[in-house]
Amino acid sequence: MKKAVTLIFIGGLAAALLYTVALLPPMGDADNPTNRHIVPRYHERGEEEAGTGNLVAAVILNYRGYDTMVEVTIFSAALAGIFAVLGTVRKRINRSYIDRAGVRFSFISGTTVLLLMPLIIVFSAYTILYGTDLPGGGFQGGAAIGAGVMISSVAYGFHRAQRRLSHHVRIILESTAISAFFVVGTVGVIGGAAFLTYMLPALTPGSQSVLRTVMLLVLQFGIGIKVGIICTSILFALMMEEDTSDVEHAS
Amino acid sequence: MLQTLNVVLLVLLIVTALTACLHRNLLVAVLMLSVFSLVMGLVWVMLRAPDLALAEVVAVGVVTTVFFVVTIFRTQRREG
Repeated sequence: MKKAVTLIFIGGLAAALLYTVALLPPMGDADNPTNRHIVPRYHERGEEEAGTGNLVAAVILNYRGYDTMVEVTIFSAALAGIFAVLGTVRKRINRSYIDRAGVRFSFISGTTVLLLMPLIIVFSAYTILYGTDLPGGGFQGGAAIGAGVMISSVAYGFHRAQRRLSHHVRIILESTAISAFFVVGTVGVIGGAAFLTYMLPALTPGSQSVLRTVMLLVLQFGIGIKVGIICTSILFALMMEEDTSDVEHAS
Repeated sequence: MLQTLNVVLLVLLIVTALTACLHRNLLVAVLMLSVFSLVMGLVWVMLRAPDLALAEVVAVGVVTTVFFVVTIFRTQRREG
């Protein structure tokens, strides 16, 4: 009975969803409502107004700058939630099951990580640096460097990774994004415009665009470092283990 | 040519998604989710959204997969 009701409900939901999808306007059509409202403005004046060749970066960092600023604080909230649930950081535990395992890390995985690491670092730096003009940006580059740190700490053990990236260093680096947004926003306010506007009207138009590029780079690097460190911190918090050696002795 | 590739990718998407949902081994399911996001990245490239493709492959394909794998190793299995 219960199963029949569930089946009918899910079937009805699927039918309704499929019917709605069939009613949607064709994908990528220039006459779609979403493409008529604000997208033409981005296409016509985005490059000149935002100073970026990559229109996605223009939307993320310039037109929707506030959105991104609040979004990066959500990462911090997620990290705080993970720390609160796992609660291992407070007790200063820095062991993990990888270090506890009797087998040393495999030579093959260690060498693979060693060979891949420089490529990952260069790729992520390139993605962040050219994120304003090419596909990519702070989030993608930061996640790439975070993934690199993650595979190396999985391959070489948590203890060695923890020594190189201690908790205090990570706490400082976790706040880079919001600091970058604060600095860039304040420069805009000093220039006489609203918060998070990339201008300083006292400058000549030529140096204005240079300043804007520098500010965008600061933002990209702030977001990148923050996302990478957040990924690493979540992994470290997941890998930490409570010290159960006493319990094992007792049993 | 592109049409064929698109169909192949979409079929792969459905297959990997169903495998991730239905497989009883959690590790296989997580790796299938990783494969799903790699294929999804290719689909994003074909839809001319390279930014989204990079984010999908790096964030979902690698970072989330590592989180899931670590969580699976840290939890115990109750059901065969």
